Amino acid sequence: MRSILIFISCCVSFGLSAQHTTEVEALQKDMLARLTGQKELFAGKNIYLHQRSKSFERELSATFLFESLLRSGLKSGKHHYRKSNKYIFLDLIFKPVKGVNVYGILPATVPTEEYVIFGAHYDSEPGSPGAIDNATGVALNYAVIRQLSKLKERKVNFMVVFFDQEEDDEIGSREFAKKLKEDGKIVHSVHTSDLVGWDENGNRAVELQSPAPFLEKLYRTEAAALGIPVHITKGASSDNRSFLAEGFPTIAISEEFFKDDSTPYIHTAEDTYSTVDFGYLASVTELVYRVMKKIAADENRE
Amino acid sequence: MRTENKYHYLLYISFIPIVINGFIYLIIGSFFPLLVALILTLTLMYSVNDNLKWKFRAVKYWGILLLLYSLLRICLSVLILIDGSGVEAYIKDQLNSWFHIQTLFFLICGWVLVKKRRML
Repeated sequence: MRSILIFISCCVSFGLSAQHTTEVEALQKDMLARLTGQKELFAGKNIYLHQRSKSFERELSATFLFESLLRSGLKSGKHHYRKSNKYIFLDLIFKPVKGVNVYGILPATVPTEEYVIFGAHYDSEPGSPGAIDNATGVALNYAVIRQLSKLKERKVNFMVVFFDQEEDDEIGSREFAKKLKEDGKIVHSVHTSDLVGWDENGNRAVELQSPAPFLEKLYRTEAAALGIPVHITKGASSDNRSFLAEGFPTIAISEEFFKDDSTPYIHTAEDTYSTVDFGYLASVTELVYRVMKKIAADENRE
Repeated sequence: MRTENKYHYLLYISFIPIVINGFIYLIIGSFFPLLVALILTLTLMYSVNDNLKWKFRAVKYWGILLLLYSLLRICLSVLILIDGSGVEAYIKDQLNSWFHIQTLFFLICGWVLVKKRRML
């Protein structure tokens, strides 16, 4: 009798887990299709984005992401910024740099001022649909915040952010990190993801770049439970650089960029929807979600 | 009594884009473009209102400056068109028809002011 109950319970949990994975994959496929021009960006508006590089393309993407966060029931906002050019003499010739970061806040269920920030950049290189770089990162974070919103208890506020202009020296995330500092936000940790859709060798491994020690421990524990190999790399090559510079505890998650199992189509017109490994994306999403869930439950907090 | 002709208006109009650019940057906290615009325009205005010899010379220099400025813009556009690798996307994004119309405006202003300075 007992073994029958265990068997039934296993079947139910496997069924629920499979359904959950299917839901996440469907959500991520839809978001990626819209961001990469496979589907119209807004239903019924006949707008197809084949890159997210020009000002108007980035503005359209930002509006789409803002509306997606609103529809998910998050308190959402746009962080507009304008700044001087990289070299001062360019200010005499060109207009100021401008862009917009999009964010959504999922409040804690208990009173707290502490925030966990996680996000990804949504812009792409000129001429590239930017499916893996970095619609996958956007889809990952979007799925995670939606899953977190279903938790009954969260002991920390979560903020998901979609950064503009990572491809231009991480301008968007730099401006956002500065704003966090200026606003005096209490930040538990910052998690950025870039390139999370390629796994040619099928080992589901992730790279964690320059993680704060307590974050490394947290990710390693959850990755081990999921059977995901973890590689730690040094330095900072994406939006994590902006947050490290402001002194926030930071971690960056990516496919095996330095271990040579990363998209060969980066920054090209071939970085399309069809090259994305959605199973891998779902696997990394599950890892990040589990880490966030642990933090939400106040476990392993520092 | 001083009479204003179309070349006077062209001279005044030639200041406008540079001064506007200065104020745009001032709003976001950068003083440099406005400082450059003010130094140039105030020097020129002072010289224009001084004696005739200085007036012609000042307008000539201002015209040459506008010509050099438009040539710099053309060179930048061409260089980025030939090899834009490593150039930020937001810079490439600005090299649109409005940018080229402005360049043409500076080029024409500079040329006319140099040629017709004695008509001022």
